[in-house]
Amino acid sequence: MSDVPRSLEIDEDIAFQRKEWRFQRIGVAALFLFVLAALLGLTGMGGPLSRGEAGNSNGPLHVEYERFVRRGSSSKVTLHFRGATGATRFWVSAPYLEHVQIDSVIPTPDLESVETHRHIYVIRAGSPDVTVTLNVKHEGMGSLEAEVGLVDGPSVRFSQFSIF
Amino acid sequence: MDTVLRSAAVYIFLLVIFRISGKRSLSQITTFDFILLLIISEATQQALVGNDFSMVNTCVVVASLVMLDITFSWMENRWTTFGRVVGSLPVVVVEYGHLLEDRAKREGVTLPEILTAGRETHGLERLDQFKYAILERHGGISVVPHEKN
Repeated sequence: MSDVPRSLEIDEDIAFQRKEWRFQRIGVAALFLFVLAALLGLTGMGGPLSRGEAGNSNGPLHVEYERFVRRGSSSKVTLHFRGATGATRFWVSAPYLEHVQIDSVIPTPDLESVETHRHIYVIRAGSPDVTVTLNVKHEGMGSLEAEVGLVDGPSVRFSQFSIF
Repeated sequence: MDTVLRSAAVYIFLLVIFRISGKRSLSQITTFDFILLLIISEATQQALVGNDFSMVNTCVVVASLVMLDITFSWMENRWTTFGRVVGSLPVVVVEYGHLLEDRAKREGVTLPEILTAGRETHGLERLDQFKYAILERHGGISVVPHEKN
């Protein structure tokens, strides 16, 4: 920059400007990290770090879910039941249902009942291996603790993190 | 309440994004920039309105955004530093016929763009005819030619 005195009346402040350039460089890096986090699934709606599983995949109950979900958006919780005899009777914990709204259960349950701490669903299937998909809309924010289980069998716990 | 918070969040997010992208990002809108703006507005609209397409919700969104804009303008006038943070400052990029390369590079301004501004506004042919070229807050380039002797 020249040392010639300026005739220009201007509110230039190069020290402030340098701070702004630094902010922009940091901002671009932050944007890059944000997009990377979104690609990895940390902002919900899929991605390798968002896929969660609970229970043994060869056991009677195995759950697939999204670790990171978005408030106001829907996600799927897939329940795999193995070796069920007769009707599949499973339950979802009531505290979890206070923070989510179940839009649909596929296949449609033949019976639903409500107990104090859980909601019970009964599905009559022709096969001992049944896959049930819960389409849930998340209404709460923060950590959502969930528990699902078979009425006469094991249960699994998992947690989801709901972001704004 | 949710709508007002959504509007504020989107307003501030867009403000930060456009401050990060710099003064020059959308100052000269190409066809692609125009399409990008349309896509951004469409994506933003979903977040602002959510699932509520009622007239009241639209009114709340518009009122919140305009109110935020008025408040920010008032704050910019009231506190100089806030105005600088939100709206940036002009930067001299050419001084007495010399390109201040470091500044131009950091602001993403090229010599051809500066020369174009000189030709368009004052019919200047060469860089040595420039007294000053200033990258303004809004991203445009103003040119002050050397006085004719």
